Amino acid sequence: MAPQSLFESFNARSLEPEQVGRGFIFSPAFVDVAARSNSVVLGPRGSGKTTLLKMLTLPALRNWWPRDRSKEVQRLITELDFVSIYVPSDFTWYPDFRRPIKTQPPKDTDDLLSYSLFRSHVLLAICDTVSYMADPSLKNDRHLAKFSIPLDNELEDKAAKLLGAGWGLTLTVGGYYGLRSAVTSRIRAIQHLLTVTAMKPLEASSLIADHPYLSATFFDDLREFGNVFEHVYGRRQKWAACFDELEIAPDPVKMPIWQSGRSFDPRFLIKISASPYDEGLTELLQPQMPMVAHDFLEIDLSSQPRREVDRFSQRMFTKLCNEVGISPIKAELLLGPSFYDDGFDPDVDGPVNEAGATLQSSVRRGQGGRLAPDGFYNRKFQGLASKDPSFVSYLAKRNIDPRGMAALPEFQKASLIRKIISTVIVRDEFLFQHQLENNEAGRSRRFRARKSVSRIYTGAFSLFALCEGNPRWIIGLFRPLIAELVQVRDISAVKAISRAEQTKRIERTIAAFLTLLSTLRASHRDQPAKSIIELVEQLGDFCFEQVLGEEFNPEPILSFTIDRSVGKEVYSAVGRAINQGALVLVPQKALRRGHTEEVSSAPGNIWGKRVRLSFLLAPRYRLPLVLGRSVDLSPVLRSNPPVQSASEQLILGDLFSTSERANI
Amino acid sequence: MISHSNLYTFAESKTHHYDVFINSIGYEERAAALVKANRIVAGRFISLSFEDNEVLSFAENRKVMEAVSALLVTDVSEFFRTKFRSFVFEIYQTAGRPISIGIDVSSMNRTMAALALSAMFACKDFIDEFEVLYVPAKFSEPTLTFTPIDQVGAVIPELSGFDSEPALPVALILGLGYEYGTAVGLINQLEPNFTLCLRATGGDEKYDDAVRAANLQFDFNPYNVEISEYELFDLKAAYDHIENIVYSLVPSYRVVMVPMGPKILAALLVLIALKYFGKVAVWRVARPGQAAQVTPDKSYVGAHVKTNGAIGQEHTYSLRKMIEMGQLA
Repeated sequence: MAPQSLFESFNARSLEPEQVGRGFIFSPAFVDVAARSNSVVLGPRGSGKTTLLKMLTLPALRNWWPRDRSKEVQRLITELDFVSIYVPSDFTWYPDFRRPIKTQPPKDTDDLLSYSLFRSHVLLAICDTVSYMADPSLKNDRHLAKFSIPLDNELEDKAAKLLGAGWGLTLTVGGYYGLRSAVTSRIRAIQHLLTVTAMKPLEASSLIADHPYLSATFFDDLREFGNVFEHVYGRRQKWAACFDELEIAPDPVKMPIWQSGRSFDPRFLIKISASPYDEGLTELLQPQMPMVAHDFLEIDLSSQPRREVDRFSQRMFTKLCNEVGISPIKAELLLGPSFYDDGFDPDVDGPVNEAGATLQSSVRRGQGGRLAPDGFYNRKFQGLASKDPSFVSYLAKRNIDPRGMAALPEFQKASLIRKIISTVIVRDEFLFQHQLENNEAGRSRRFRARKSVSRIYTGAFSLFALCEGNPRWIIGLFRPLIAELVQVRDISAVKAISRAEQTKRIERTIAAFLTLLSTLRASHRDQPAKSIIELVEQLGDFCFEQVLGEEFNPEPILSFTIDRSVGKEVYSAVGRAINQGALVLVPQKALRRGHTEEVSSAPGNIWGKRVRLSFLLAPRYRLPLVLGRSVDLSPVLRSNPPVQSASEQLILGDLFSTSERANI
Repeated sequence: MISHSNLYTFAESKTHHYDVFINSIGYEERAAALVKANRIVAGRFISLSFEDNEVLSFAENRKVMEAVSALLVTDVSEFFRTKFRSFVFEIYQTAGRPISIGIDVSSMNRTMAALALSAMFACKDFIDEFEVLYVPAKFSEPTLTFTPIDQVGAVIPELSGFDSEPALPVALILGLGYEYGTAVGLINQLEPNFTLCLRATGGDEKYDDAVRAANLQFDFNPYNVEISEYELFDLKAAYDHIENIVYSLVPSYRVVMVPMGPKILAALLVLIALKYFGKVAVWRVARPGQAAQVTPDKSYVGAHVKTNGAIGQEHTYSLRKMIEMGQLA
C-alpha cells in the first residue's frame, strides 16, 4: 500500500485521534469549541469541522498540546475540565445505502432502525472514550492525567457488566473489550435487520417485539454511563457528547440532539458539527425551536477573516512542504506576490526580488511603492483609462486625471484606490483595445479570449484567498504544485512555481469542484429543486456583468441576501451550495446597518443571511476577490434567467469555454 | 473462482453450448448479438426484459429472442427469487446431471447481473458451472456530460455488506467510465480512507484515451486515490487481480465497490462480493440518462466459473436463505 498521502494526513475522518492531534494547526475557533458550553460548529464540507471536534478527544489533545507551547494553548489545556465522547458520522446511518434503489420500507421501520444504528455508534464511542481514559500513558500527561482512570480489572469488569445490563447487551467476554465486542455485534445485527427489511416489509412494532433493544434512546444510555462511571470510579465527571456531521444523521436523531441543549443532563455538554443549511430541520424542530444563540455557542467556519485565512494557509503550506521533504519556506517566495502585494506583475514568476516578498519590506515600501507614478496602482489606472471610456468618465466626474494620481492628496488617493482598485484590476485585465477597420483607434468592450485562468489570480495571497481557508481546497490546490518541485533534481536551484503552473492548477481545481457540484442531487425528499450549478452560473453571470459591464461600476454587487421571496426550489439550491462551499455565508457583523431582513438564527435556517460566490469561482466568472455590495437574491434571479437551460447539461468542455463570455 | 477465460471473435465459427442461456433484452444492439450471430446453442433461453426504454434495437432484440422461444422475464427480482430454482431443478432432473448455464451480461443492468449471478450459487446443487459472457461496445466518442446522482444504493440487498465490521474505515473500489463527476461525488460523500479506481485496458485505445480525458487525467486531488488497471479481455487475470486487492482490504476495511464503466466489471465485482458474502458491498448509482445505441465490438469474452468450492458452504446457505426471504416480499 502506498505511504499515507497528504490528504490522509489532513482528512480527520480517516485518522485516528492521535494523528489528528499531531497534525493539528491551531486556530482561534478551537478555543470556542473547547469552551465549557454547548457549541455548534458550522461550515461547508472540507472546512475542518471534524478536525475541531475530534481534537477534543484525549488522544488528540495529548498528541497536540506539547507541540504548541503558546500561552493560549497552555491556558486552554489547563482549564479543560471535561472528557469528550466523540461520535463520528457514518454512511450506514442512512438506510438508502443498504437498500436497492427504489425500495422503500415503511418510514417508521426505517426511522427505528436508523435511530438504533446511530444509538449503537454512540455506545461504541463511549467504549472508545473509557479506553482512552484507561490508557496508562495518560497518567504521565501533566494536564490530562486528571482524566485518567485506574487500570483495574475488577473495576473494569464491574463497569462493563453494569453498562451491558443497562444497554441491553449480552457480554461474552469481560471488561471494556467485551463491552465493545457486544456493541459491534449489535451493530451488525441491526445492519442485518436493515437488509432484511429491504426484502420484506416489517412493521416497526413487530421489530420491537422481537428485538426490545430497538426502543432504547441514546440519551438514556449516556445518562446511564454517567451514573455507572460515578458509581464505579467514585468521582463525578463532566462530559461532552460530540456529534459530528449532524446534517447527515437520520431525522429521528437530529431532533433530540438539537433540543438537548436545553434539557439534558447537566453533567453533559453537547457539541455538534453541522452544515449551515439543513433542509427540513426547521419543520422537524417546530414548535420547540431552540434558539441557537441561547442554547449553543455558534462557531462559524464559513468565512474567516482574511488575516486568519492567510495565517492558516501559510501554516498548511509549510506542512505540505514538509510532507515532500522541502524545507519550510514562505509561500510568497515560491508562488510570488499577488495583486494584494507590492511589485505584483503577473508576467513575472516568483518574487520580484526576495526583499519585495517580505512583510517588512512591503510595509516599508508600501505607500510609496504602490502609489508611485510607475507603481502598480497607477499602471492599472492608466491601463484601464486607455481602453475604457466609462472609466475615464468616472474619473473625470471626480476631477481625477489618471496620469496625475501621484499628485492627489494622500487621503483621497487611499480612499479612492481602496474602494475601486479590485474592479480596476479585473477590468484592465479583461478588456482590450480594438482596432477598427478604417484604422481609426477605437475602443469597444470586448474580452481577451483566454483559454485559461488569468494570472491576476496567481501569487501566494491570491491563492490563499481562493481557497477560503478550506483545508481540503488548500491541499487540492497546493499539493500538486509543491509535488512538482520534488521532481526537480536540484531543489536549491528552484526559484519559484511558475504562474503558468499556478493557473493550470487553479483551472483544474475549479473544474473538479464544478463537476462535483453538478453531481449533487437536484431534488430532496422527492421535491424538485434548482440545480446548484444552474444557480451558481446565474449568479456568476450576474456578477460578471456587474464588474465587466458596459459602464464602469465602482461598487459592483457581488453578494446577495436570501430574502423570503425566493421559492423553495431556489432556497434549497442556495442552502446546498452553501454546504458545499460554492456560496459563502457572510459573517453577521459584515452586514450593513439598516438592513431590514430579519436574520434567522434557527439551526439549519438561512433566511435573511447574506452570501457571496466562493472566491474559488472568481477566476471562472472574472471577479475581484472582494465582498462587494449586496442586494436581495430574488430580483436578481428573476431578471437574470440562466443562459443554459436546466435541460442542457453541463459538459466538460463548458468549464473554461470562452464562447459564452466573449464578444458581448 | 474463474477457472479460465477466453477471448472470441464473431468472425470465428465457434458456438457455445449450454443447457440454459440467459441474456437481457434492451435497446442496445449488442443485447442479442450472440444469439443473432448463431453463437449460442441452448436447450432453454431466458431473456430479462427492461420495463421501459423500448426504443432503438429493442424490438429487433425481442424478435431474435422470441424466435428461439425464450422465456421473457419482466419482473427479474421475482423470477430469480421465486421461480428460478424450480426452473433449473426441472432441467436438472430431466438431464440427470448438473447443468451448465451461459449468462450474457453485456446489456444487463447491475441489478440483473447481481440477481442472476447470485442465483447461480444459491442453486449450485443443480448448476455445475456457468460462463459469463460479455460483448464490449464498439467505441463511439462520448458526450462528457455531468449528470446529478439521483440515488446510490446496494445492487441487491444480499450484497449490502450487512456483516461488515462497523468500526473499520471504508475502502472504496470504483470502476471508472466516463462519469468523473460521479466518482468524485461518491468519494466526496463517503470520504473513504482509501479509494481504488479501476480502469479497463486491452480494448480500443480510443476508449482508454476517452476515459482518461473524462476523468481529468485521473486527477482526483485532494483525495487519496490509487488507480489500477484490469484486463478487459482477460477476465481471469482481471478477477484474480481485483480479488487479491479485496482480500488484502477486507481484514482492515469495510469494502464498498461501485462498478461504473464496462458492465463486465459489475459481474466480476459481484462474484468477488459473493465470495466475501456479507463483508463486501456492491452499490449502483442511479442517474438520469438517455438511451443511446451501443453496437457490438468484433470480439467478446467469456469467463468460466465452477460453482463448487467457489464460495463457502455457510455463505451459500446464508445466500440462499436471503434470496428465499425475498419471496415473502
